[in-house]
Amino acid sequence: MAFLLACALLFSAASACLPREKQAPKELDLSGTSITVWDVSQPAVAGAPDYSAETARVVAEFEKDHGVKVDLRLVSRQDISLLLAGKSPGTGVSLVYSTEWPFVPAGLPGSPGLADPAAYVDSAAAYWTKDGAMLAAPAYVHWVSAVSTAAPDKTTPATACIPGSAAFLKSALDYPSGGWDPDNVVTYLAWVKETYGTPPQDPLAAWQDGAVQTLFPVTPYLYQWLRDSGGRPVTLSPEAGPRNEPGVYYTVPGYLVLAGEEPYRTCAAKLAVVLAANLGRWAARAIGGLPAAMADAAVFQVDSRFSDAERSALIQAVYAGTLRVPAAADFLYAEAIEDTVSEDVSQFLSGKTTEAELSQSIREASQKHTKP
Amino acid sequence: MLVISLAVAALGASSGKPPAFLAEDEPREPLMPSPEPVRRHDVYDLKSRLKELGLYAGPVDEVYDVAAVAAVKEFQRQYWLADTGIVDDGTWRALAHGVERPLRPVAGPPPEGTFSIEVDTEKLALTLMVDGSPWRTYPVAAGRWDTKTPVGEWKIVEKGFAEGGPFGARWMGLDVPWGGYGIHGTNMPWTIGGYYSIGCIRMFNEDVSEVFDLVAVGTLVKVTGYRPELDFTLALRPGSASPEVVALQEALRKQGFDTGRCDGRFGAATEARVKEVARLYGLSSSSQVVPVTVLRLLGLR
Repeated sequence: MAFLLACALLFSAASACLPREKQAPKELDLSGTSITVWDVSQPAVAGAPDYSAETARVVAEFEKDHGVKVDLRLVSRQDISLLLAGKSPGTGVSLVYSTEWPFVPAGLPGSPGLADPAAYVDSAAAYWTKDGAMLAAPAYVHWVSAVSTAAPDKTTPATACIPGSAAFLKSALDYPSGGWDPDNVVTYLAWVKETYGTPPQDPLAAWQDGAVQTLFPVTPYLYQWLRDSGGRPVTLSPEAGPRNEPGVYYTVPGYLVLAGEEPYRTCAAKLAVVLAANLGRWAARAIGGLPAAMADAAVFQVDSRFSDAERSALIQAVYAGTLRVPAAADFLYAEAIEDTVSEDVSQFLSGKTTEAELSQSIREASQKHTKP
Repeated sequence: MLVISLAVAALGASSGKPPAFLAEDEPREPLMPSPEPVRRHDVYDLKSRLKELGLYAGPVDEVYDVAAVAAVKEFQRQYWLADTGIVDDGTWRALAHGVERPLRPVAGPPPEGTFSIEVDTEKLALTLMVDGSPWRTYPVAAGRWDTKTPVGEWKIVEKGFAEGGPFGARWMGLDVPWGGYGIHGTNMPWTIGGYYSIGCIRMFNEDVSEVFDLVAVGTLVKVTGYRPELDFTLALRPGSASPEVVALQEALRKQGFDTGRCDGRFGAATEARVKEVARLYGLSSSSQVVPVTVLRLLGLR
């Protein structure tokens, strides 16, 4: 009897060591879940699909596939910025588009498994990765570059900058070698003034009239407008900054999950990936954005209307890129500085104020808007 | 009477005189001959009718001059009126004699749904829509070339029974922010189908009464067609109210950035969309005034 018992014990112990058949993790049942999503309008672009119609179709398919209800609202980018900066309630929003100038809102709830980094272009995934986890589903690479056209009468080409652009300072200072230290800001602006002179009052008119050959900074949306509005060919012509910053700056707009509880979080995460891919494809076709999803690289190659050389330059610049999404505090600090000194910057570049006056103005703004 | 009053109240109508801002533009005092020629808006309508009747051959303008007075006197004689040259209600009624509203089938009961109005000043037609589909169309008179009917998306803000005269049987005031405009009847039915008013939309009295009974205060009125020459060199900023703002709102909507109703009021929604477009296209968005670059982007300059 004791022998039998001992054998039974030995057998059960041995069985315990045998590999068990793995049980698949239980998929969360999302049926019946209802979430609210904030997205944005995209401009109507000739020859490109209607973004709102595409998005509505994609959402309807998602609802049907998962048995969920999605309340999709098109809001302004300002509404989104206020929501993410914590300056408006926006209660009940589970998923939101980051806008083209993303930042990580304070207290963003984590969404484990939100997106698989391997499915995305490395730099797009890295842009949104913190502590090993992706914070958003990346949609596309929103690049910023100089853009040129042939000089109509082959005279010395002129370059015009657009100092009021949201990308003007960001494209030079959002690098480790740059930074928003007042000295860096002034140094950069002095370089712009020396290199490019006084910016035209109406850069688009100057472009259309042939008074300038190169414009910067140009976003994908402006590039599409320049390409479609004038008769002259337009090409990307990246120019390095004063500290050899790459000629192509970029952000990676994406979809952020705000819901912290299940099943809303999982539902929002799944939809985030779908919406991001949808926007990435639209961006490739409409404005020459580079889709973040590897699976959509072909859309960029075939439908972006760039030349081979332009596509190559963009892809190389982006693939080697090391930019990261800023934290809310850093982003809002930079925005506050930009807003406060925009008039002073214009005055300086127009030659109406000195470098010393500009420097003082920026220092005062910096002191007023200290980072929390 | 109680039922009628309740019905009137339900449709948001008031009885009595049209609002002052409309009345100023449509004089009700008799038109008197004077040693110095009188300039009045309705003289244009008068001279048009006299010309139609073969009694006047001079220029059709707003001046009640000697030739126009003579033509009126001749008309009055032909219509057994005292040939004073004074154009009073009696003379206006006589001038309208023989002008008939085109016959049409009697309208059946209106369908269920939400009413709205669309006015096309090129076609000089007002269409009553039900849930976005056209139900019935009426001929109208619109603003003259120098006083065009404002293009935009308006709402009926007041309704009332007029006492006849230039407003005819009914009037419906619109919320155009830069002036007093409305839809009303007329005592000059010969003007329907032409460009005669200083911006209001005139209808035959029978037609305006029909529309009046069906629509309520708050009904959307969309006016399309001829616009005055727009001037985008003027600064557009929050608080502006002008035809240029309507064009800006329409251009934003066409680009995919809806500001709501294109009502010519540069409010918070329009400001937000202008800044959004500026920021999206990498243009300056800090100024209160709409940047010329944004106007250029939208195809307005």
